[in-house]
Amino acid sequence: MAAPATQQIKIRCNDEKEFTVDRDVLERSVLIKNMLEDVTEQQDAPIPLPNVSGPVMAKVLEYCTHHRGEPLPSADTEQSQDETRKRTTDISEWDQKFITVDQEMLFEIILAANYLDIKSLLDVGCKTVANMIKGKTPEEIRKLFNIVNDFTPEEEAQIKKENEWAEDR
Amino acid sequence: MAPHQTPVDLLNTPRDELRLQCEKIRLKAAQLKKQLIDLTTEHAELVQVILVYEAALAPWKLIPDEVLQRIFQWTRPTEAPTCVPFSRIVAPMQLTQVCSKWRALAHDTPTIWQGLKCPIYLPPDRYERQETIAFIQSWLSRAAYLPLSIVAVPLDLGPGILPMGVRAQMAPQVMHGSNTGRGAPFHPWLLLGNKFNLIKDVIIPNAPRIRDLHITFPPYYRHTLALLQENVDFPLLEDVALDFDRDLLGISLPAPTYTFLENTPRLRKLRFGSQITSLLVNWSHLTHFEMGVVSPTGFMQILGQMTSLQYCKVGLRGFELPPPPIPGPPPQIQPPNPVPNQPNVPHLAPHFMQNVQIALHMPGPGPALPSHHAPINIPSLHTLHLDMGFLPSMMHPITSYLENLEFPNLKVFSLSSMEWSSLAHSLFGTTSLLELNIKIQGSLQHNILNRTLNNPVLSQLTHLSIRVRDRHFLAPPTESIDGDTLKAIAEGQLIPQLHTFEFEGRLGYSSLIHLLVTKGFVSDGDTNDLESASVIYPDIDVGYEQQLARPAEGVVAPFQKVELYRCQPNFLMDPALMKIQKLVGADRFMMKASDLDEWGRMNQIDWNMDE
Repeated sequence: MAAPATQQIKIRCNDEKEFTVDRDVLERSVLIKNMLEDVTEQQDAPIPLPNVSGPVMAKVLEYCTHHRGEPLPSADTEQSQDETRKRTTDISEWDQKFITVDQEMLFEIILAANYLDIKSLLDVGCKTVANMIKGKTPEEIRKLFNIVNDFTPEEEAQIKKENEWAEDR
Repeated sequence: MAPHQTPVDLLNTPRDELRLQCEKIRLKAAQLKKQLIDLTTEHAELVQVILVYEAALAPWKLIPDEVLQRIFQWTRPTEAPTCVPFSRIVAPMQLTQVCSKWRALAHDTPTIWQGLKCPIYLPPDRYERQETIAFIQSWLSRAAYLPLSIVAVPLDLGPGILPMGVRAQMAPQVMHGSNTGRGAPFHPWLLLGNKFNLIKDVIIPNAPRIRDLHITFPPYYRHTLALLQENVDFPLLEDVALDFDRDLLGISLPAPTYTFLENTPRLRKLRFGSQITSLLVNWSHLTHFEMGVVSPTGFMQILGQMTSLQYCKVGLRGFELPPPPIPGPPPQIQPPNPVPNQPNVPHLAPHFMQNVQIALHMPGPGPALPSHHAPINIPSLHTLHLDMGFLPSMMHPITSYLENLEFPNLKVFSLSSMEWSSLAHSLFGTTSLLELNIKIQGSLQHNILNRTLNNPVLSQLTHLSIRVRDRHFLAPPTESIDGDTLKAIAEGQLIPQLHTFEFEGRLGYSSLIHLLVTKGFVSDGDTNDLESASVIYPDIDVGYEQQLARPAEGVVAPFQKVELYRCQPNFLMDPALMKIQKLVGADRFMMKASDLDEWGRMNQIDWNMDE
């Protein structure tokens, strides 16, 4: 007996770029999954995704396709992960290669994962940025992410005071 | 020449013109200079504006605050971050020094402030007590409603110097703190009065909020544990570890020093680096228990009373040790209750036990472990680590005791520091192991190894690790394993399912090459699915070089990874190994030189011996 055909869903990004994707791949996104569950009749009109551009959606779909079929993290898992005292920032080899992109794309992916509610992708992005931060001085972090040192004199004084407990004061 | 013009006039005219021209040029230059300054200033201002725009448009600015806070949570170090002194390259303090927004957001992210590590005492000449308390308290207050994890460690500043007479005069009770009475590091400022103490100044005031509490007591500071007895409640406590300086390992903590663990309904994990005199009633809920030293009776009590235990790690001593009186403050400490010798076998119910680690100390005199008439089944036991302390296992009471246990689901079995004669004897109670780790002292006895590996309980084995410790540099340079046995393991003749084989020991050059690349080995590549081999290679005898089978082009051993440690420096440049490295791939073939300092010392010793 032939396997049932996978339902294909159309999505449209904010730059009018359209994708036709297997439903189970798209359902990695809790946002889209809920949208699809709310629609009872099959519709041909593409689902509009006004907060995601075509190139970013292409990357997101690459991730979702690779991880299709894997169990979605439940709210309990999320809670227990937050509670875990020793959380690891290890990223799997494939995910690491996938997320090796320029900074702009990295933050765009994080933003898209947050909007589309894809927890595992959001975590890969956040872990990657966290790993970039780890082991750097505040000055190095400013340079890396183009951040202006905008401390008020009061904050500067407070930081100076706190640094009396720093190891390299 | 005009009639009214003198020769002087004739010279004046061009001079004036030149002066005029010169002035024009000067004015122009000044104008240009001003223009240049203006342009440079304008450029600098524009660059600043662009930087502001760039900063405003920086990719991270797209990220909503809650996602940035999520990133901050992932920056948490795996261990609790040190609070005093904190590092500017470690979260959370690192994040508060980047910019105003990050500072405010970091302060508003409670999870990154939940844990801290801090020395149990601090030198008062460097850290003013009240200000330090305020600093630590402000850290913990940012954790808001979340439970706290506090790790107290000794501050390693090196031993202070104080004349013996002064030490004895100022702190007789402190001198008592060590059961050896000598050799432990001593910090003079321990004796100062109003000094910072983490237990008194941070742990006790925050006791109702603490979930995890790990304290490593430095020398002379064990008595501060008694501070916790004074009406301190830890209602949220789940995980406690109390470790002691190594000179206190042998002593026994009397029950009053840990009665603060009585009213801890959520306590699940408990570790004592030392020995304790009796178990508390509410510990029956523990799922994890560790104790540095325990007597056979105590071990039986643990198994009998802690019915929810899943993980148990103990150092088993063969005899009962009388607990010494605890000196120093507080004076209200009562003499310890001796462990009652129970003639009857306690009812054992280790139904949930998944992981047991036992290190055996000297057997000595004392009551033997009670024997059971019927085997006791431990259905959940998955992992068993047994450190035999170089004792023949059949001599130790634990062996006969373990023979009475059944572990139908044991998958991982590790045996350390054992004699070869004990190996075959030690596979008691196992049925279908997946992983076997053996660490053995002395040279390897091939007949025992072969007999052991032929044991049917190992037929499902997928992971085998053999470590042979025979490191004395004066020992004869014999191989720890013979080539035929090595080949039989590597080719799966002994254990067909094996996919990971780790070997640590002395290996001759030809055996190594034989293992990596030989005609027979590679031609059977289809049936050999070994994925990795780690070979510790302490001694290379270059005399074997002439007997090497050189690797042929295209012949690659079926390893996914090869790691060679502690090779002699000249071995790294060996052409045969370099060839194999090239064939296997440099990223999968790692060779590491012996530590040069170690070699230097060994050569120095050799040289001295020659003299």
